[in-house]
Amino acid sequence: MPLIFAKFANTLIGDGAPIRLPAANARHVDYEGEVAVVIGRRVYAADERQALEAVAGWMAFNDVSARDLQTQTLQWTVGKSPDTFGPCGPCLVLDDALRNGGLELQTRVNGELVQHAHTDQMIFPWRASSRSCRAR
Amino acid sequence: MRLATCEHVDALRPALAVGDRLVDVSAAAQRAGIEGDPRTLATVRALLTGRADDLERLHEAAAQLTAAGESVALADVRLGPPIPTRARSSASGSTTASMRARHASMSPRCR
Repeated sequence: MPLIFAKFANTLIGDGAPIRLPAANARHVDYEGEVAVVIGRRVYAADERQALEAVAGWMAFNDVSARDLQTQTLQWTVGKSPDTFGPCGPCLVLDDALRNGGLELQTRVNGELVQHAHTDQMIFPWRASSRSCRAR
Repeated sequence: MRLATCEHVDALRPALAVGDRLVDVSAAAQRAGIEGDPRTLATVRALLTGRADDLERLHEAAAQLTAAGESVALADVRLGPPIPTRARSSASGSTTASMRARHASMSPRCR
């Protein structure tokens, strides 16, 4: 079962916009390149096929975290949701790239490649994650 | 097909991406002859909930405008999040094996 946590709308910024480091926690701010699945319509108790049909598109997403804040409580919201901690884009992709074989994922921090993986290597396949989010 | 949201002086505007170029949705709509309630073109969210064939026509018009030199470089535009929203967002803790191994190597205070 994937762990589900809250990341609020105040985190969202566009590609290239600066991430503001929380003054008291700047030493423990961390990146995590991910593929965001954008759900385009409301579904309930969806099976995998229904979850797939509800997907509007995909976008690159940096799940920025303040690791020390994240672990101060049993749930992660405080460490995941400071302003600007959700850079995404540059675009919402509407085609079937992820449905049809997956995507290569690279993350760079200040130009340095720090993460290189493929969506096939995800611990929980995105279909299962989408389903578990939308079934509730 | 790719959609973006651009920051203007006092507003966010949706745009269509063609390669590494962007075309404002209103220009594409004019080119495609799409009329009607302007709210249907005001945001990426509105575009997604509109008619699918309109989206196809907009994309074709954006490609034509780009070929005619009537587009801007993606790198020259200030971008907002593709789907700006006031709504609550949630995320699932799915990650890659390499990132999980990296987390495991961190001290518990920093994980």
